[in-house]
Amino acid sequence: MLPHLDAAHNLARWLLRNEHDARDSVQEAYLRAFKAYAGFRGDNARAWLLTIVRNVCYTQLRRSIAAVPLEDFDEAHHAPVNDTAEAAARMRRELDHERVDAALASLPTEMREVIVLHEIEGLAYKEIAVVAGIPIGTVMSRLARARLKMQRALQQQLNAKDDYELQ
Amino acid sequence: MNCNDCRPLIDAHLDEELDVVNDAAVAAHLESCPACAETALRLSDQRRLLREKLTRHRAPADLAALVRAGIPAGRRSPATGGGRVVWFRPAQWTALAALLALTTGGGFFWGRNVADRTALVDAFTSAHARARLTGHVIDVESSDRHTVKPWFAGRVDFAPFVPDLAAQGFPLTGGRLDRVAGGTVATLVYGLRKHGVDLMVWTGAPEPPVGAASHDGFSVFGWTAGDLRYVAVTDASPAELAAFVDCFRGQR
Repeated sequence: MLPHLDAAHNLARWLLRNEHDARDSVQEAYLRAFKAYAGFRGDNARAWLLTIVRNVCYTQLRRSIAAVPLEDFDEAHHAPVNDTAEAAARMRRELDHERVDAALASLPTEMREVIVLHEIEGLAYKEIAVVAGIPIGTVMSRLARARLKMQRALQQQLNAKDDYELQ
Repeated sequence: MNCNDCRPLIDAHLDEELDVVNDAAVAAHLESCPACAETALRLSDQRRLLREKLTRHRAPADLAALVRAGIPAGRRSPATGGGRVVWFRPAQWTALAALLALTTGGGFFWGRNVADRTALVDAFTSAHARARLTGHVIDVESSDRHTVKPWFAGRVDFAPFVPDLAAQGFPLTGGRLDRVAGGTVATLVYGLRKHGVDLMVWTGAPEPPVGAASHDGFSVFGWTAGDLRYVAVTDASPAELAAFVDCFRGQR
C-alpha cells in the first residue's frame, strides 16, 4: 500500500504533461521520501510528499529541452476576460472534459499547479503554501489570477468548439 | 467595503478561506453589489465546471509495484564505489506507509483521539493562517493591555488575562476574534521577534490540544488554566514558542 500515490501521480502528470516523465518523477519522489522520512517533522504527510513530487517535477522541467520557461505574470497586455456569469454558465453546459483539460494544460506551470492542488486535490491554501513554498497571501493571489487565465482559456475552447461545429 | 476591496477577496470567500470579519464584509457587499455578485457567480460556476470535468490522473495499476521495485534495483551508492546499497527493508516501507497514511483519516492503527487532536490543531493553525491571509490580524490594535482587555468585554463571555510581556521580548500588538471549531475565541496577538504569536483563549468546549505540536509549518502549544483554555500558534520555532508560553504562564 502506498498512500497518496494517486495524488502524487496526478500532480506529476499535470505538471509534466506526459505520462512517461510523470511515472519516473513519482518513483524518484517516493525514493526521496523514503530516504528522508526519518527527518520528517510535521503531521501533514500529504503536503510533505507533494512538496517532494513538485520539486522533482520542477527539476525535470528545467532539465527538459521542451520545458516551457517559467512565464511572467504580467497580464496587462491581455484582453479583458469575458466577465459575465452567462459565459461561465455556457461553458459549464457545453464544454466536455477534454476541452476543460486542454484549457488547464495551456496554463503556465505555476498557475496550473495551484488549480490542480486546489480544485482537483482539494488542498487548503495553507497546504498549497507548503507544497509550492510560497506565502499564503501569494497562494490567494495566484489562484485568483489562475482562475482569470482559466476563464480566458475556457473561452478559447468554447470559440474553437463553435468554429468546429460551423464547419 | 467597496468593490476594489471586495474583488481580490471573492475567490478566498468562495473557498471559505477568509477570516470572520472579512468574510462577513464580502458577503454583505455581494448582497448589495450586482457587479461583484456577478463575478462571484461566474467564479462559482467555473469552480463547478473544473471540479466536475477536470481529469484526476490516477496512478496506473502497475505504478505502486514499480515504485517499490525501483528502489532496491536501481540505486548504487557513489560513496562505496558502485557497491549495491539495499535500501529496501520491509519494516522501513511499512513505517513510511504508516507515516504517509496519517493524513488519510482512516488510520488503521491510529486512535480517534489522535485524529481529533490533529483536526483541532488544524482548526487553530487555520485561524492563524486565515488572519494572515488578508492582513486581518487584529481587530483592536494596541500595545496597552488596558485597551485590549476591555475590548473583549461583551464580545466573549469571559475576561481574558492580558499581561504586558514587552520587557520579556513579547510586545502586545492587539487582539481579535476568531471562530474555531464552532466557538468564538479571543485571540491575543503578541510579537515574537519578526513573527507574531496568536494566543487564543476560550472557555468550555473544545478541550485544547494539550502540549506542543507542529502542523503545516506552524508551532502550536495548548494548555488549560482554571476555566480558561489556551492555544498559542506561531510560525516561529517550537523552542521560541515554548519560551513565550513559559513567560505567559509565569505571569499568573
